[in-house]
Amino acid sequence: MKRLNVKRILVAGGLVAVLLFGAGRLVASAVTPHLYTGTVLQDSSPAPTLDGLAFSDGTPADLTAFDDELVLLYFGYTNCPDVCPTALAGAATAVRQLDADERERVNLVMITVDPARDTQPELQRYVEFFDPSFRSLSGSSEDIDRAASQYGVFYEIGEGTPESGYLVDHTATMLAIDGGGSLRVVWSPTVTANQLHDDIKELLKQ
Amino acid sequence: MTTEGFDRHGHHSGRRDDLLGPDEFEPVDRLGTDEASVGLDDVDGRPATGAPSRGHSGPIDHELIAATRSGTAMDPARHDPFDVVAGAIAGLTDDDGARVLDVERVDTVDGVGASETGASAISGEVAGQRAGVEHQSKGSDSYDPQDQLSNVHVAESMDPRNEMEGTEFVIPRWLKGLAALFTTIIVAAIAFAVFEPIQVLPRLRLAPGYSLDDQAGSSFTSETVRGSVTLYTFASLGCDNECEQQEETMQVVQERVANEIDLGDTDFRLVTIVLDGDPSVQQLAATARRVGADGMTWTVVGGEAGELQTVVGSGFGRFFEVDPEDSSVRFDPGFVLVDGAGVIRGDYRYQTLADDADKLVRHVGVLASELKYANGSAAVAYEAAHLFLCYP
Repeated sequence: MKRLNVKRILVAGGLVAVLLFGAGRLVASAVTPHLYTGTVLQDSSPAPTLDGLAFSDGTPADLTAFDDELVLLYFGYTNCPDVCPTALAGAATAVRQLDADERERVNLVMITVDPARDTQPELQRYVEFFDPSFRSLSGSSEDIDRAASQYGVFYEIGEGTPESGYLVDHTATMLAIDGGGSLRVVWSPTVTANQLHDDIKELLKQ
Repeated sequence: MTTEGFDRHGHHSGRRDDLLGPDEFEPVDRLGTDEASVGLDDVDGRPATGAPSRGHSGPIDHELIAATRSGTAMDPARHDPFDVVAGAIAGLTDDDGARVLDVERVDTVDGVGASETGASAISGEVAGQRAGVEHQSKGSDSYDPQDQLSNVHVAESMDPRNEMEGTEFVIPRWLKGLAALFTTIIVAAIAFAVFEPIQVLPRLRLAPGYSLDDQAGSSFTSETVRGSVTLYTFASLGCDNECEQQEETMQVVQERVANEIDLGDTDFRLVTIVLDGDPSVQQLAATARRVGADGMTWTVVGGEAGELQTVVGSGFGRFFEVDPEDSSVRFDPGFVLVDGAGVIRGDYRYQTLADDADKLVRHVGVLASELKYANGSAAVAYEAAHLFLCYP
């Protein structure tokens, strides 16, 4: 009776299995992408610029300065009663769940939609309350109008109370500009901190 | 059987004519530890195959073989001569002390000579002796002068390498199954990309945010249509023939989507943006009457020149120009399809051979399917479709 060389079969089979496993993982990862909670945009062109806007220290807003880093953009204002604090708190929680290296690469920037009342120092103190790494941008109404429109954000002065003053109706989406400078993901206001964290983590891998 | 060729010590002369004839002896492939069969070349040049022929039928004499190995002599009259020789060979060790004809160490064998009485003599002589074996490898000759058993050679077929000749490599069944599984996955992925069982519209970019005024004088913002599938078009107050075609398309699309497409709980809205700066409410209303906009599903909106430049020029990426002399407006006609999340899913700039209305209705249908089915586990398939079909 002829005997097969079992050792050779096992070695060859093991090598083939490893190759097939690797190929399978590749195919599986390609066909099963991370399901983002946010809406993923497929436009690889550069995100709209933030011309005319500046940080609290006077530095002009320049998205190219965040090369290979993630920018989370949010339009809000300091007198916002609920939507803005909720969004910023959720973002702070999501960012704190990242490891140190990942946190270094995430930059949350809030652009005020109420430049008349939000001074630069007040605005910066407001965002730092949620996380010391958060930054703020402001500028003229025209520059903010243009930036907001290009990022799909609507805002207008609405009614308020004597205590709160006027309120600003605004789109409360959060946006992610990836390391390549393209607008990549848009999250609705209903996104949770954990969902945001998972999406941010996936974006940082790219 | 004859004793020719064997001396009184039972040693064989080694001459081929002393060997058993072909009808008395059948070549054997290899030496088994229990069988004690010996690998041979055929004496007549036939390849070594088959089982040993002892000249009689019956099982291997294991008792004899075991005894021979241990050096215990046994009565050859009670045992088959072939078994005696085979047992002797199985019990032999070579100069290095290794067992003779161990398949790992032995090269080739030409043949074994044996006879009844000769076997008896050999049994007596070999038991307890150390015997070398004449090794003859293919193409070379080496002869061990210590050999006591002449012409005992290991069959060429005993070379383990030769055992593999003609042996097919059998692929295990589990490996076949695994290969079939991964092949299926790869083929499915390719078929998915080629045949597009799931169609999706690309998520091009964000639609601009805006706050304009409608034909009733109310504020109409990008948030007004959030959650709805919205088809935008552009017009001017003085636009007649040039705008007629796209206005007809909007009317056809509105009617067909209402009749043919199931958007579920999602509304389908149409918005015409007037490109003339600062139009009055009356002008917007007149335009609405002209195009057939009812103000509910189809709304005509306008705004300040500066905001229009931002929304239409930068946001929707549409060229338009107001002539300062006669305030006429030049613009690129077309349509923009926006989903409920405020993402542009279709940007229709140029007329193609395909009818605009057909194309728009079909694309609204694709969007409707995605809204309806891209949930739960099916969402993975739709995201895969976006990945395969939409990325540049």
